[in-house]
Amino acid sequence: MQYKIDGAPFPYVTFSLENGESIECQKGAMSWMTPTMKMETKTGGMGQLLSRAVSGEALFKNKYTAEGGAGEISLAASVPGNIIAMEVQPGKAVVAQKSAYLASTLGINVSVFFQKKLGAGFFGGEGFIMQKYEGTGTVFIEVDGTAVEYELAAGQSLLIDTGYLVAMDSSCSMDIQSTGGIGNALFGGEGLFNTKVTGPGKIWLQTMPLTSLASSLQPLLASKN
Amino acid sequence: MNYKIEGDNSPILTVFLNKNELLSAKVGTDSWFSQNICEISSADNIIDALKNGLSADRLFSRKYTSCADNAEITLIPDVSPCTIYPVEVSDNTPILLAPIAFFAASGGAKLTSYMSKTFGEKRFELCEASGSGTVFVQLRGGIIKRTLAENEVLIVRAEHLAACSKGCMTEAYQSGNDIMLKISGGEIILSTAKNV
Repeated sequence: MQYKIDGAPFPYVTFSLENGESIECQKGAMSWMTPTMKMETKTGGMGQLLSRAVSGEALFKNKYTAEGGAGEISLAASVPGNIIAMEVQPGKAVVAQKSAYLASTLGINVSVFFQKKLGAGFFGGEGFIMQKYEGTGTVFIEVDGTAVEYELAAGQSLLIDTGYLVAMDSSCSMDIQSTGGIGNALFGGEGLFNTKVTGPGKIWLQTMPLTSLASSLQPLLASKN
Repeated sequence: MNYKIEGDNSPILTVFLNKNELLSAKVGTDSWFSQNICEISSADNIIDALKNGLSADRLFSRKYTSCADNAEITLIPDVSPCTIYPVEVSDNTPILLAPIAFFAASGGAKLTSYMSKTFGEKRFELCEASGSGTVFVQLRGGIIKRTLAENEVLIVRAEHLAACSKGCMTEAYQSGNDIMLKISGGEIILSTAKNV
């Protein structure tokens, strides 16, 4: 299987598959494909169904397989931004924000990741429910805006404003840190807490979280009332 | 008529008209123009298209004419980020156009309804651009251009189709809640974001 990511800021990923090769993707992600691609809708059992339901994903994933010859399928992102590919290996899982998943090669298990720290869950911006990608293969995720990568050494931390963290290696830990004083919280425009991610591991950030974009646009939109 | 397309993800189209030349453009996209643009009215050919069954909100346009040489009008798409792409049409090489992708057309281009089909609660429409002139399409996001061989088939989610050669759209069908198109043998222009 080969893939090509192109077209930012409205990106798409095109997979070129040999006969018999498959990919899995989020429901409704297919944009165009050759007729040799056959679709099969998967639930993955009740456990995965529930997992996807609580992690913000569609209940069903689609599996596309090239049958009767080579095939090609293109998946487009749902919002302006980027699509990034991340390699997952045994012992090197990735934790990502809800709704980041776009597609993956076979062999990737997408499950729910519960944020156990109350503070990070309440104030970290990502909530208590995230996604975890395990197994062996490549995962393709959607990023709002431009993707920025950091490699954090063991014990090295980065403070991140709410909503800017897309994904991190599961070896990283997440907590919150106060922005420092009531004055900063009320007048600094940065809220009460920042997300603190500590290495070792790689983290992926996004430059334009959809929630921030929506907040910027909200005053410009006419009220229904 | 001459034109230039400038800008990256939020492009603009500037059209230069000589005396008595015509331009049709999607309503609300005219942003600034010179004072020798002397007549602005509803475009007759678009009205014909509407009478033929296309949705009014999808293809309502205005017509501009010039009363002197070197008139200039600048149009800005009503979506962003987007791409503006010019397509030359003639009676021998008509194209099919998703009405939502219509942006502007030179006076010699003629638009008529080609297809209007309902699938459950969803409607799929195409118009035909023929005559002789330039049709400008606006696409959400980026543009993908493909040339399909005679027996080469591509399945396309309807929202991604901006335009294609007439004759290569072979089938529109429903798949779950989605409308899919079977396209073969011809030029196609796809949008990387859904045109909705």
